[in-house]
Amino acid sequence: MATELRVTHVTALILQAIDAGFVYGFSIMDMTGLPSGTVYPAMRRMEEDDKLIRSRWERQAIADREHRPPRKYYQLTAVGRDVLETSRKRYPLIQRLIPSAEAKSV
Amino acid sequence: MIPPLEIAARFAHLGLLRCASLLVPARIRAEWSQEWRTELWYVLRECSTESGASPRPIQEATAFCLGAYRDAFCLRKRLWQKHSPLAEIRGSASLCLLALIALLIASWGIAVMSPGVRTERDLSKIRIHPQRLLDLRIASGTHDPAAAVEEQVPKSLGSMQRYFDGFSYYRITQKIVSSGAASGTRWTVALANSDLFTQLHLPVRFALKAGNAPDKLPRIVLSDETWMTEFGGNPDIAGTELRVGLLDGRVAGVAVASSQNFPGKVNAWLLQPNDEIRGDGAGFVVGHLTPYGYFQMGPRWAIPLFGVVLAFLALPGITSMALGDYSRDSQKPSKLKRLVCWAFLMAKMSLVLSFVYFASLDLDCSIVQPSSNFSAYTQFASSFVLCLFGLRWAFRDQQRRCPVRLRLMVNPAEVGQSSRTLLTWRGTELFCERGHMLLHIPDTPTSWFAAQRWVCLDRSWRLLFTGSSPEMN
Repeated sequence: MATELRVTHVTALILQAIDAGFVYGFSIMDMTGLPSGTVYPAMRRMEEDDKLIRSRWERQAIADREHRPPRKYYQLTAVGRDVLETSRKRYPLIQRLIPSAEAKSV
Repeated sequence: MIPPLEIAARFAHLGLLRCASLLVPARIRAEWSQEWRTELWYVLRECSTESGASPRPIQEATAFCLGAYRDAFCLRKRLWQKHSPLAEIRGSASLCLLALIALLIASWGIAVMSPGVRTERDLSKIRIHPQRLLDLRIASGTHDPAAAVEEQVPKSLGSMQRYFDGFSYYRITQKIVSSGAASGTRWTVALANSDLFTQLHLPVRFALKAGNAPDKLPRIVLSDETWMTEFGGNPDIAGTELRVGLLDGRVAGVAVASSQNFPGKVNAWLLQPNDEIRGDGAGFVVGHLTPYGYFQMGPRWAIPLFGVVLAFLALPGITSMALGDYSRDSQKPSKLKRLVCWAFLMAKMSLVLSFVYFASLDLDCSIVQPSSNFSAYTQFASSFVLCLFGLRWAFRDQQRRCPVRLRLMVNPAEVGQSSRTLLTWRGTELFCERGHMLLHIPDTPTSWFAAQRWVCLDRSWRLLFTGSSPEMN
């Protein structure tokens, strides 16, 4: 069976950013330094094709309370976590670029 | 109060997002638009907080909104890939060859239909001798060589004077030729114009001096072969009297061996005034080309060939021709796979060269008339440029193809760290979509990493690809 590439550098960076607590589009852009035209299509592919992440909309009430529009949050799936572990081994630099939450707390 | 510029910018940004949303499939458009508008709000808030009253937020937000177009295109592309049968062969070697064949057929089709190229083709059918002689067969009974040439040479050539500086013609017949009391033998004799050899700039050996034979007998020029076989190569043959059929003639010399290339192999030429050449045998007009005529009507394939040779010489100056090293010899693909790679490269180059030939003809005929002074130059220039960039593409395409399955490598990414001392590697990394190879291309070639390098992916990479495991060689 033909296999398709699942993790590119961009994907690895985004997975690492989400794992590090940057869980919505603009914050991922900001953290990774990638442009919007790269981040959003990649996240769409990761969510819909590869099932590495999933998203949910923030409740309107919470957003209204803070006088801002509701945002779409992303989180890693179980598969996404496994892939992130493998990609960290392959690309150790990404952990230095975006330290994970545990690393920051140490 | 919000400044008018900011209000205008907000409208412009929302307009940009609205336009981009039109590219998105209708069933997901609402959610797509909501996400981008929401994110735009956060982008503006973040940038305003950081930069105060500067125009930076507007620029940032504009750049952000332009990214929405790429997102929309990607969505469209993903949908196409899900539903189109062509998606499976995207980036494959077969698609590449099919595209090249389609280009070749298109350029050939244009060449076939182009009137200029038809003229060119007619010219190529005319036989040209190395001595700048052109010969044409003419109908029986025609005695006017100029009329025959004009009838057969394409009209688009224009003035004949530019191409020819002499015409003559001859008609072939069989005659009994005898010398003195000896019995005659049957020769193939060309009844030719008196000035045949002068007009065609052909030398005659052992030529009879005018003062040595004051009589008015027709002159006979023997072919080199007949002189050797019938007269034993006698150097004093000039002046010998021969009877050709019912006519007496005097040998005026021996034609050079190259005259044997004329159509209708003859033993001798009987030179006569124009109006005395009679008979129904096959007639031939021979024209002598001027240097310009020879350049124009001579071997036309030589012009694009010259361009192609120059392009091959110039190619290393504009692209690297190395197809890549391997980090370890054990990672090299099998000999068969390497052979297939080379065959694929050769096939691409052959198709490119064929395309260059037809495309240069098409360009030549669409820019100038094939008979114009610039024709050869435009064909040379177009074949050189097309060939140079065509071959450059062929090599670059090959350098970006996985040596295992010949698919294009994908997802270029800058990796590594900048280093002034060049002790750490920095460059671009590409993946094979099927999980066979990584390709590392150095940003700055160094003594230890000069050319691009292939890295074979082992089974530990399997999780980075969907499906069970990548197809390893």
